[in-house]
Parts: sequence; structure tokens; C-alpha cells
Amino acid sequence: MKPLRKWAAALLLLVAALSLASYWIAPDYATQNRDSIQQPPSRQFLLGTDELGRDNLSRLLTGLRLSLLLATAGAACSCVLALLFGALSGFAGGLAETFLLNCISLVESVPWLFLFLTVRAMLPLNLSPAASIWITFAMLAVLGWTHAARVFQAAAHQFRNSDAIIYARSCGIAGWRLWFRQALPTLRPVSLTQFTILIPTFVLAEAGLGLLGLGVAEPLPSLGNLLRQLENRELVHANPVVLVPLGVLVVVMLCFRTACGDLEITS
Amino acid sequence: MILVRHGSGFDADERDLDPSVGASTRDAIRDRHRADGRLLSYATNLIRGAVHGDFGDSRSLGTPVRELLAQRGPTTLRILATGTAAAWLAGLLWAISLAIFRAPALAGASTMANACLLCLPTAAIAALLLNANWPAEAVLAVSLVPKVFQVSRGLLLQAVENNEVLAARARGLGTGRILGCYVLPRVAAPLLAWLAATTGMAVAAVVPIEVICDVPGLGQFAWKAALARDLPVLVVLTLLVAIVIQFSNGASALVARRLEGQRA
Repeated sequence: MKPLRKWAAALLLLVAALSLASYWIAPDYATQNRDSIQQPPSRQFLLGTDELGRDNLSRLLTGLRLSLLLATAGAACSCVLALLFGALSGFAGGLAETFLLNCISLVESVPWLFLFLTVRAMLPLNLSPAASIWITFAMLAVLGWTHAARVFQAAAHQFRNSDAIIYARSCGIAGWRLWFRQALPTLRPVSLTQFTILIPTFVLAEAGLGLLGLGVAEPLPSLGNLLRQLENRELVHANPVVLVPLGVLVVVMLCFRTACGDLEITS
Repeated sequence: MILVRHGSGFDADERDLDPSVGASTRDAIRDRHRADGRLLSYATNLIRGAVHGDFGDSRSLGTPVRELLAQRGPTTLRILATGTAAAWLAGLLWAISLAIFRAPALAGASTMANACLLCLPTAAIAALLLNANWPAEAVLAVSLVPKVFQVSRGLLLQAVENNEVLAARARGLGTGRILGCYVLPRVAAPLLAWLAATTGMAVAAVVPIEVICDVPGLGQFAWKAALARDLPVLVVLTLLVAIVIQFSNGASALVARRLEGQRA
């Protein structure tokens, strides 16, 4: 691992540890201090307070924790879905492969944001904040698996025609043993790559949805709904601390991209 | 459609609670909802109406969806066309200049700047640029530039390392001629495929941009329809956007195949 990637991974772990530690170091993300509304940073509130007098630091750390944990869970679900469709089509070949590839293309062609808006419109109005966070990431998982499925399909298709499969068959390995014990383990590196690619994608998607008010519902904080303060022009000019969540998002995303080796490829 | 049909509030109508609406009207509304409730008939009616240019009525605004699309469509099309063209121009120029002037410091700074832009959600870019009074077209261009730059730069770097290009350089051909005759024709087909992909990205990006910049286009319309639970509008918009994306993908694949054929 190159030093830059090591540093990025270390910084990412530090941010993740800090966000997990928010259970103990900044637990009162919902407490409203009505006598200190929109306060600048002080000794009591290190990042100031929001328009309801809630501690910005507590909300940032809790939001980061929720976004990172649920994006990871969403990425895992998406990977499983992608593996199911991609590997099945790649290993099966023939008509089944064509059919499943067409299914993937069909899902891919639907504009995910419009579909997300449609599904959000159908949810009950009295949806609890906890349910909103689960639904947001579950929908991202259900809508975001197609690209990974194509990668899995290509890898599985390549493996189906490889010498390793012919050798395994000549050794008498067939049926489910062939696919589960010989073929599936070869997709492990691809799965890991897709998983690490999907996590920042979901963090970013949630941030975008949160800014539109379609992500995680208040009072639960997330990176997305913390960014909503950016829409208040006067607040941004008067109290630039509201830009901190955006800075944290950029740092987290850059660390992910660097740790995955994406920046090295482009440079 | 299955999702829409089984969503909560699908068959609810606020006119049911309006005392000024007569019993016969209320029965007619209920009959219509009952007809919409059957998935197959709902899909058939939707497609049959769409073929004749009738997309139904908006539940929240009480106006034909077709009229609303006609009112808001041109604004979105203008933003999409201007923004995408500006993004491609800026992204390509940026990538070409880096392929010509191979300064490591410039390349590093470009990679970093591009990575930072890629790490921002479109809505955040819109919110930041709105503070600086940038128009929606410029916001769309800024959100698309890093995607155009990243792909075109990769393709151009691959192309300039090609033997044909190296031989042309050894023969002493000028930079402009090498670019025009050897590099750009080589990358034209994949760039065209990417153009179709960026169309889809632009359509998705236009929703947050129109919402944040308060532009009365189709993106804002979709968002308002989602908040008002106006499902017929959302279904029509989703289907229309899916058709546009499929059409642009198909057209670009066709042209790219023809270009590849010409090169071969």
C-alpha cells in the first residue's frame, strides 16, 4: 500500500472512530438550548449551535456515524443484490444471461432520483425519523446495485470460459460445488472493490437527498440534512462554521477515493 | 407502476372531503380511482393516453399534465442544453490542455480540484453557487465538468501514448494536427458514449439544481409533485425521463458503432 493510501485509510479510520465515539463524547444531538440559538463557536459549543439551539458538533458526529454506518449497510445489501444478479447471469450464460442482463438494463434505465421521488411520495406522512433513515438507505441499496452487477457479470462470464473451470470439471467437480466452492470465491476481490466504491456513492447520494429534504427526517441528523444550512445565504455569510459539515463530507469522500486508489488512477 | 399502485394514499382524493362537491361528482371520482386501482387497466390507460398525448391530470394542481409539461419543459431543456454544452466544452478543453502541457504540478492540481468537485453532491454545489448568484445553467455545468474531465482525460492520455501518435510526433507534426488527425478521432466513439451517459447525469442533476435555484422547470415540478404526493405526475415524468435516457443511449451507441466502423 502506498503512503498516501495509508494516510487516507488512517484518516478515514480516525473519522469513523470519532463518529462512533459520539455515543459518549457528544450524545445530546437533539437537546434544544433555546437561550443559545445560532451561536458562534464557544467553549461550551465547539462548532456553535443551529437555529433550534442544538449543538452542531454533536449533530455532526452523530450524522457522520449514521451516514457512514448505514451507507456501509446499504452498500453490503447492494453488493449482495448485484452478486446475485451478476454472478447468476455470468455463470449461467445463454438465454438466462441475456434475460438477466436485460433486467439489469431495465433497472439501469430508470432515473433513480425520479424513482426515489416517486417512492418517497408514497410513504406515509407520519413516518418516524428512524424509519426514514432505514428507508432512505434501503432504497439506495435497491436502486444502486446495477453498475456493480455488470462488473460481477463480466467477471463471472470471464471465469465461466476460463481454464480453471475446465480443469475443475475434468477433476469431476460439478453442480453447486463447482459454482459455490470454485467460482464464487474468485469474485471476492471484485466484491470488495465494488463494496468500497458503493459506500462513498451512498454517502454522497444521501447528502444530496438530505439537502432536498428527502433523506433522513429531523430530528435525526445526517450529513445530508446538516448541509441544508447552506441554503441560508445570510447564515453562511454570518457564520461560516455551517460550512464545516461540507468540509467533513469532502474530506471523507477524498479519503475513500484515495484509499480505494481512485486518485492514483486519475493522476 | 406496481409501487405506485400499492403506495399509501394512491386511491385517496381530497375532493372527497370537500362539501361543495356533489354526490354524482364524488361517485365519478371514485369510479375513476377504482379503474386506476386495477394495475393492468391503469397501465393500459396510461400507455393509451400517452400515445394520444394525454398524460392525465395532476392531482395537486388539477391541470392536465401535458399542459404542465409544456409550460415547464422548455426551461429544463434550455438548462440541460446550455449546461451540458458548457460542461463538455470546459471539461474537454481542460483535458486537452493537460494532454498538451504535461506539467506534473498542473496535473496534480487538476486531479485534486477534480476530486474535490466529484466529492460534492450537486445540491451542495447549487447551494454554494447560488450564494454567488450563479445561474442554474452554470451550476449544472460545474456539476458535470469533473465527470467529463475525468473520463476524457483518461481517454486522451491513453490516446497520446499510442504508437501512431508517437510516430506522428517523431515525424515533427504540429500539436494541433496530431490532436485533430490522430488523437480526437481515436477518442471520439468512447466520448460519444460518455456524452449519452452525461445526459442521464444531467437529467438527474437538474432536479436539485432547479429546487435550490428556484427555477420553474420539470425538476422542480417533480420535487413539488413528490411533496404533494402527486403520483400521476411522477409516473409520467419518470417514464418520460427513462425514455429520453434510453433514446440518448441508443443514439450514441449507433453513432459510436458507425464511427468505429469508419475507423476500422
